[in-house]
Amino acid sequence: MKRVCALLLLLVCLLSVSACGKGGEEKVFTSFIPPKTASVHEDIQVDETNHITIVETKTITPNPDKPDEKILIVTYDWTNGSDKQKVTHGSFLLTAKQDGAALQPNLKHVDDKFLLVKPIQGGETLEGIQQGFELLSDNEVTLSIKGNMQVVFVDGVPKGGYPVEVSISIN
Amino acid sequence: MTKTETLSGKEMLVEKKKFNVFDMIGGIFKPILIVIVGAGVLQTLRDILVQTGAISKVSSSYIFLDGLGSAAFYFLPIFLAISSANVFKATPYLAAAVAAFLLFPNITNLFSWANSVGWNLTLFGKIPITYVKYESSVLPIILIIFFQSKIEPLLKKVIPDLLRSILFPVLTLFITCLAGIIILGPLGTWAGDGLAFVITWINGLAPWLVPTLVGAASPFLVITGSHYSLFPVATQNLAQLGYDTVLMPGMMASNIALAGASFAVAIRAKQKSYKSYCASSGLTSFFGISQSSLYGIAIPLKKPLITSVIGGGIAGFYAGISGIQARSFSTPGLLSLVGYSSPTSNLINALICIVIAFVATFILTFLAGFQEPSRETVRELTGEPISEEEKQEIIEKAEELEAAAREAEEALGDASMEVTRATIARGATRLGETTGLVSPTEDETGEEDDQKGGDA
Repeated sequence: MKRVCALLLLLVCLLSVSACGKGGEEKVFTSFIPPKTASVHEDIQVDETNHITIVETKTITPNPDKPDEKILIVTYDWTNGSDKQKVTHGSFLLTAKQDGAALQPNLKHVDDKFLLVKPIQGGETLEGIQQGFELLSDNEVTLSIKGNMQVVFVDGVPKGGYPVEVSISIN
Repeated sequence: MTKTETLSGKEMLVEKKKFNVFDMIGGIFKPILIVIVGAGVLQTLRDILVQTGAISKVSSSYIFLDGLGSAAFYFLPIFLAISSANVFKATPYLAAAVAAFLLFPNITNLFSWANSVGWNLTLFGKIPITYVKYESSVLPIILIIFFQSKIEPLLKKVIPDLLRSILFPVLTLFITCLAGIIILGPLGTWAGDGLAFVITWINGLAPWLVPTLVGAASPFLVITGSHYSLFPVATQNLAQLGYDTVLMPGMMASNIALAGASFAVAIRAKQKSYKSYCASSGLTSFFGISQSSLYGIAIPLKKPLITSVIGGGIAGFYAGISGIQARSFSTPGLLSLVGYSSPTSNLINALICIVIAFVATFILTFLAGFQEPSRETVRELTGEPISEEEKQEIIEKAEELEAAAREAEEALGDASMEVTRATIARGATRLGETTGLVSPTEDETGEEDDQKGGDA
């Protein structure tokens, strides 16, 4: 009796699964696709909610006795396009590389480093956030801004999330 | 030539007395090696499939296969926490909770973010927290659980019994986790940063010496997790110079040396299952995944560790003087040869380095010999089930012990019955004395005094 019941249950399950499979429409997955590259002063949407605009980049020499030690200061605005309060951490990550190597971060010479951990409400813009990087040479620097998208659907196919790159020349 | 022996009985007791740091590390890793071997083989399979072009690195198949091989290594601190807790006599699941705290995504992401933007993390705005990569780390969690094992008895003493069930886990987790992220965890990182500084300095003076040192000391760098501190040096070299001579050649020499040691042990070992364990560990070491060789063979048997240090050092020296350059960052083993393929002389020197590492360590290990681990240890390592004969033996022993226990219990029952009878008799005598029906005797009075004294 138990076996008959089990078989009947199995049959019902199989029929329901096949019914769902045949009748449903094929689902197409879509997502926001961030640009691969962008430029200074451009409104860059790095994921579905976060917008970054690089306002200014400048190079400083903090120690006049060591002219080779240069710091790149990047100033940018961030718009939190979500409906929740957020901070930069967990929303996006801005890093820099030069000559293929990641640049060492340095916050000693920025105006207000606490903007990096200042929460803002959904829809608000936080202006004048600064980050500093220790330059290795006078060659071009590539800024990478990674939003919080782990997967991006291109033509319905999942691909790994990627950062938006902004090239900056050092004078 | 030293004989290959199996430890048992008295020898095991003698071995216990000679407990040292290597035994401790061996004891911690023994229960989890089965996981490391499985994950190591899966990682090797993943690398082979990628190198042969069977799967793409951006495909979902790669993500699943990579997860199968890498998850066990990523969460290694949790496994280590449980086995360390068993060795140090701490509470295993509290230890696992401590490790889970260190690997909690919000915490690892915060560490990663702070490290990327140069933010100095603090606790309560005052206590500085150093960035540590806890994923796949070894030494930090062992130190932290050792600390936990020391504070647990103290907490048990201090906390009142009534509040123990609540306060004991709360305080253990709070104190251990905080001590872990503030002091104990960063110790390995500070040591690693110092090491990276020294290695970079030596590389400027005598570049040939660095692969020699890394080739010889790699097993210790892996144990302490200090090799992670050399990754930025190697990455920077690859980015700026287009090649690395600091980390990759030395680590390749060391992994192949461990493969040589594993195969030598596989040939000389007597137990079939241990032979098979050593051979599979040797194979994964060949492909750069050397944890099972290191923790399951080299460290517990000691002599293979010494021989692989020598073999790795010799091969590293060759890598140094021939100036081998790794042109890509990959798992340092046989498959990483792709990164040495140009120019041809570089590839030939890399191949010679591999041959030296393998042959030298194989011969040294074969000649030096080793003490084969006991049957129980091998069973634990390999996950081999107990045979019917052994099962029968265990059952017989258990039956003998049960019979002895029953006899002892019966004897105890008789003795307690006698005590009860004597107590009743004494009580009756005292009652008689109190009521004046019986006159007290000298012996009984003395006994009574003793009893009173005892009660007092």
